[in-house]
Amino acid sequence: MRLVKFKQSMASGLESAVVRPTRLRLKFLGQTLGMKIAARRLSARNRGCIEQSGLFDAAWYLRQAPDAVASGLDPLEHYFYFGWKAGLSPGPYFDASWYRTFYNDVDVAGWEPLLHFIRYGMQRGRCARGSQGSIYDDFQSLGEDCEFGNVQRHFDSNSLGLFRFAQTNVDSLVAAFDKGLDRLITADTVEIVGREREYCTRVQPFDFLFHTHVFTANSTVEKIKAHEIRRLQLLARKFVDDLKDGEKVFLYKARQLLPARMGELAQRLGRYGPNRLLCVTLTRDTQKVGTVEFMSDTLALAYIDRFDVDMTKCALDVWSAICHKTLSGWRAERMAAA
Amino acid sequence: MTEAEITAALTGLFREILGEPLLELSPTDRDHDIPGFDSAKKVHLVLAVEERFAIRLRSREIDMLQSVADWTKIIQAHCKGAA
Repeated sequence: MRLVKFKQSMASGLESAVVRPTRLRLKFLGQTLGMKIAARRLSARNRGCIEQSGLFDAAWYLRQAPDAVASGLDPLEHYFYFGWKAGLSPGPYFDASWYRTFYNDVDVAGWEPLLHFIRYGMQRGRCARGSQGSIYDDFQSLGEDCEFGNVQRHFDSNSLGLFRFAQTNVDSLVAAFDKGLDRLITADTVEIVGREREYCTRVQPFDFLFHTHVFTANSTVEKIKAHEIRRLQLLARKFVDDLKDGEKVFLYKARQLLPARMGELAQRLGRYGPNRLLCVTLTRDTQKVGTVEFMSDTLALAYIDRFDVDMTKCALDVWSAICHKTLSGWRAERMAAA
Repeated sequence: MTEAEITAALTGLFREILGEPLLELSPTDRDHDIPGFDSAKKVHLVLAVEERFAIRLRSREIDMLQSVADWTKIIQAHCKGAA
């Protein structure tokens, strides 16, 4: 009971702009107690979980919660102990209030929403925020296979991307940029092939292979070819628009990445606008898994421990951490530059 | 074209693409609420909408299409622009 009163006093103390001496003493006591409680409740495991997720952005949080600075608490502890209860979010890519409202089992169970999302929500494909759409809409896959496209689908992103469900390689992508994207999809370059009961579209001479999502039993090569040309031309047109807008993060994943090739691909993207390329590759170093290295303002390299197109086996938590850290990192850089 | 006419035409296209002749749509339905609707179906719907309404959607408009109301608003804006 005393603890509740202290917490209430402390919260009101934090919210008040004018503090009387008695309240000041109470606030100080409250802060001291709060720090102890926060330190006890926010275990190293939970702290590690939140920090690894890339969803907590201390600088962003402090701008939303100036009281947190006055409280003397570590920003993460402030969020974990007070912030989310006051309707604050931990960063721009996780809306704590929306998550609590939309998934009301979180409130019923009394969970702090961010930790719930990281531990459980993510695996269930829950969204981190509402009306603004999924953060995965901010990315566009360049291949080399469908894994990231499936990750986007898992997190309810219906964004359209030319290479979202395609097989590519970095050499062919660079060659396609050099030849001109407007000449990529024509009746002469498109060929329909059957692969494991599904029609696929091969685009020559780059050997790109696109899923059509149409079973061979349900259509003919002639019908599907005419439709595929229209479909891929629409996606190619959108791809060029996205390149010109310069707002998406283009993502390329590969088991092995040569820095020179990454640079060449980033340079091709840069011909259209201020585009950013995120390359994701494998590592066996557990310390590096889920980290993002920003090589420049247009190129970043991230590490993952495994690739798998099967969503029951793929590293969803690592993909999530990489995407959030990438957006936060580049957002901070652009703000600093502005 | 009125909003009701656009909604009726849009419902027809959704039904055709999803293979659900009895599908009923509400303006508040979001993409995720419509069974079977995903990014692959969305491409087909964009193509069908462009053909049916004789419009051309821009990339940013396509990205903004998150609900039935979004589709209706964007189609209406294009139709008004063309009139």
